[in-house]
Amino acid sequence: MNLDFSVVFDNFADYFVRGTINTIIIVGASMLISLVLAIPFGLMRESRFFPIRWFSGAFSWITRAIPAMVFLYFAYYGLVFFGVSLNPIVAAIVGMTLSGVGYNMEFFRSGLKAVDIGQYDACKSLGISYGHTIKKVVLPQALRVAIPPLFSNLNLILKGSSLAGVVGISELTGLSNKLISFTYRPIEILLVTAVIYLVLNSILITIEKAMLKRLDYPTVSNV
Amino acid sequence: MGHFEWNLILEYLPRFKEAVIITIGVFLAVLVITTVLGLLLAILYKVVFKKFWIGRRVIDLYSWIFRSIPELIVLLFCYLGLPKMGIGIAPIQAAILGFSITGTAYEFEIFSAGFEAIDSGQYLACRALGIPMTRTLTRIVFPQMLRVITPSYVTYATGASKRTSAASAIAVNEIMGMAKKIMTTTFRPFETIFIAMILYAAICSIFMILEVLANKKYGNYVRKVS
Repeated sequence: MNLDFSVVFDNFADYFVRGTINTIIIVGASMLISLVLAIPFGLMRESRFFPIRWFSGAFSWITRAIPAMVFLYFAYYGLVFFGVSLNPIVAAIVGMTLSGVGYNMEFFRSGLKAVDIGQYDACKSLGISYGHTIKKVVLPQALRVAIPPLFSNLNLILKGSSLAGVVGISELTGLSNKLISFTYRPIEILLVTAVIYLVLNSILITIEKAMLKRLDYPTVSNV
Repeated sequence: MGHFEWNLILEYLPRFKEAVIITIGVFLAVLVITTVLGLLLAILYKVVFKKFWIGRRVIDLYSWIFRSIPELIVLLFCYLGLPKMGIGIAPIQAAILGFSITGTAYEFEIFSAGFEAIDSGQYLACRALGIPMTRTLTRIVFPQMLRVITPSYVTYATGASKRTSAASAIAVNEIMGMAKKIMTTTFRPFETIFIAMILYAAICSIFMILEVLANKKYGNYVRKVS
């Protein structure tokens, strides 16, 4: 067996660059949306009004119990049932967001819960406004607890986005797979794809380390 | 909005019986293999390679690579790459091999975190008492490790049970693979995906309940420092 990487270089722009850009778009958007959605859903789970609490509890359970693969099929093929036909990239974002939001809300919630209730009382007695309390006192502490698990979930979103390729969306894995079926050079193509994922993942870890450093917390390496 | 065909679900649900068995079978096989190999790697890393840094770096590299790249890439490599190298492999074997390679990296991290939690003084104490290494591990270290690793182990198993769905990409007829097949013959993706969702949610919920129980029992376990 001899490796011939010319198949990779010849198709680099059409397949690998385009695929990487699409992967970054899908992953970036689903990370952002699932993090933003996690905040209201996480707070809803603490609601005093039980239907809201149960609704967000059920939402969290369902999104955590169903694999990303199934959500991707659902977003791409299943939503047609409701008359919604999504652009492939948007479908991938919807699928990955659904599979990520459940974990994100749980981690966000456990971060908030880790902040002692006495801190709110202390801020009140010092006359610090509620908004300021959340922004300057509660969030920095909650984020320290929540960031390592949140980032390991973002890592799962990055890796899970490869499943979108199976559903027929042209991101990195999808395009690599296509190129394999044209050229039948699986080893070279998959090796290069793996290296690209390693780089993307390293970027994610660098961001995490920078954030933990900003919060002045000893960095915990986790993937 | 389309019309929901309940009949289709009743008609096709029995066909998923075999698919459920394959999903659970692949998952259990992978779980057993990864647990054994992960524990072995952790013992190598923490006990045997204590003074052999090259060995430790090799394990670090393995763990970093396979926790960073998608499982699907590893599966595709086993399914398409190995036959190209002259190693014939059936889809289901490729799936078990691929999941085991990735899973071992995760289990290694879980077990080595467990070793971390054991005070090094305990090894010294065992040596002072003349207890051999194997017995130190089986009687002193493992029982304490169990309490530390159970929550993360169950969490890992929950995720792993879901991620078996990636095997459908390499022509394994597990739940999602079956759903794909039925989707292409019936043209009713919504109902078919609905069946797959229910089946996965049911399997995964078992582990999620175990996760809650494990966290209740061991979640607050803190090693007492004397």
